[in-house]
Amino acid sequence: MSDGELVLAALNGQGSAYEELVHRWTARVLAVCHAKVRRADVAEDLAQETLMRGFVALKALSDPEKFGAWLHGIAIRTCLDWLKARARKQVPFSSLGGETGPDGLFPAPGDGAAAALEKDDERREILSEVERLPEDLRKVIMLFYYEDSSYREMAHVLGVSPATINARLTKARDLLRRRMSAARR
Amino acid sequence: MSCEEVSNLISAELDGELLPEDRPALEAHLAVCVACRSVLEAFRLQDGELRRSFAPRRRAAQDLARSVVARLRSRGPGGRLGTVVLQLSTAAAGFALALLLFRPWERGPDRTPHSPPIVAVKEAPAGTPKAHSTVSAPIPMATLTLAMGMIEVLPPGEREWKAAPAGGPIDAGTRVRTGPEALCEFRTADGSAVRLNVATEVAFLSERRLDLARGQVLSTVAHAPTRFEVTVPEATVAALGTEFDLQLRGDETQLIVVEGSTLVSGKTGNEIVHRGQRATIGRGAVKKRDEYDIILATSWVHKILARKRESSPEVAKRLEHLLAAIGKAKMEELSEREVLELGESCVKPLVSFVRSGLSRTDKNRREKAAALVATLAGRGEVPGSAIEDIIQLLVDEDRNVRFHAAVALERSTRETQGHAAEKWRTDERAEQDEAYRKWISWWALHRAEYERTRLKT
Repeated sequence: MSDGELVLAALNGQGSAYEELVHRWTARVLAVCHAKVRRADVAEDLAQETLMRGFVALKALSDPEKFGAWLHGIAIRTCLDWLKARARKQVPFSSLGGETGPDGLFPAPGDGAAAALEKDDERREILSEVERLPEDLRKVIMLFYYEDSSYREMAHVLGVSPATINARLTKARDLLRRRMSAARR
Repeated sequence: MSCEEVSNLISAELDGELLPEDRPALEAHLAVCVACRSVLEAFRLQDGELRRSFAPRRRAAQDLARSVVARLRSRGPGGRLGTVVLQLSTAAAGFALALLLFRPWERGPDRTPHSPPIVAVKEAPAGTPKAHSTVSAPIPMATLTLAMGMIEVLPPGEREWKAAPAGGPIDAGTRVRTGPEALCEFRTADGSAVRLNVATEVAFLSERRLDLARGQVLSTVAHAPTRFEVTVPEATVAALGTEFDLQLRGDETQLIVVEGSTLVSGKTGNEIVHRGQRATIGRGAVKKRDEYDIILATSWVHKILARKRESSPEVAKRLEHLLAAIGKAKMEELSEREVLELGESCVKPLVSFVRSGLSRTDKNRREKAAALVATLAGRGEVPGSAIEDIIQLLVDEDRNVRFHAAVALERSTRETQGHAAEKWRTDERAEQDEAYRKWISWWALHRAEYERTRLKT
């Protein structure tokens, strides 16, 4: 069934229909949230919040075939709410995760880079670099690698053309390549 | 081609998105450009690193999906999408409880079915050994279950319209039309109800596809995996288990969604119209929509429901809505009229509502409900089986309820037990108790007679 048909079925009381939508869209929602807030742990909570908000507000969706783009909008708003709330708080350094720097958003330059790179460190390093990319570039990287989304699928979610997706992925890869090379020298 | 353009093609190649027509240009450039070959190799290595780095994130996404599903399921039936939180007044809540307790739609021995039975499977001819019986007629696509006035059909391949027999099967491709004063109801094999208003023509394309050529049709759709669709000029209205009304008005179609949601598909795209909304469809698109009283807007179907002579969940739902509207100044007169239109089928629910303990705090609605019973009695719409319950209203605390009950009994039975209706409005309880005991004795003697017949004044 298409997303639109699942939406209709869900609106008419078939609970399994929304569950199917959850399975289809969780990875992409998580990618969008991760790209927005640049923290994987927080992104999971925000993605769950997004999917629940989508469930409650499904009746407000006017075109069922645009479910993905609509859910993307909810994800962005959910993340912005979190970012605003976080900006108001005074967060002590001790509560920040190992991947993040003093301000909680940007990894401190060189964190993990000076140490010998184990597999986990390598993974953390490249993820940190992805999290440092400009927002429009890190979003496409995360959408692609969270789920192997096609250009067309990503274009649908982000509201741009497949050619734009291609260009952004290329630019993201190029920037990652240069930064990783610089970090490893 | 520049190296910047080629780098885009390199990305597309890595991602499995390279267009066939771009491959020759990419290969030709890579053959002569060392820098781009380095980029290809670097992107390939980086792609592998990224995939390995994101593998735990993918697993996290799968775990998250399972977690969300578990959370959705833990919400229980109350979390079901589309469930309308019914904000009933106390009186309406009492009515709903009365319905649940009373279950007026359950057929009792005193009720006889009015509608023709739905044709299912024919019995094998007498004498045919069961083991060799092959005479099982297929379940028809649809059956005419109620006809009020002239209903005509045009089966596929035929040229002449002919009268539709009640209970007659409908095959795919049959066109059906109602006369200027006729209404009818069809039941499809999947249990959906299709009701046609006057001057309506519909084609049954299949069990779950109709074409509305003119007039008005109300569809109450059974849940099924396939969509139920009605085509109108330049659009299709589809549902998956819902109730909706469509009426052609000149170049436009009016859609009213009574339950669930519908999808309107036309040239310009798709739109969902939800329960409680009225939409105008024109040139393949929803031109405007507003919130509308869906029960009153589809009240034309009450004539059909009233003919069923027995309550049903559908009647109960409509009655509940109308009773809730009574008391709201603008809606009162209109709603009362529609309750009366429901006729005999709503007498017992009305009486149950008055007797329900939860309605006790809503004096106005209780009195209105009792007055409606009296009015229905004046029209000969009180079934014999309701008499005993109306007698019990004679001992109600509310004097107006007692009065209306006495009026209803007098109109239905031509009896007063020596105590005129107006006297039930006084506080002379001793006389009223005496009259009540007489009614009880009278009922014991005449019960069998009244429960078998429909009362007429």
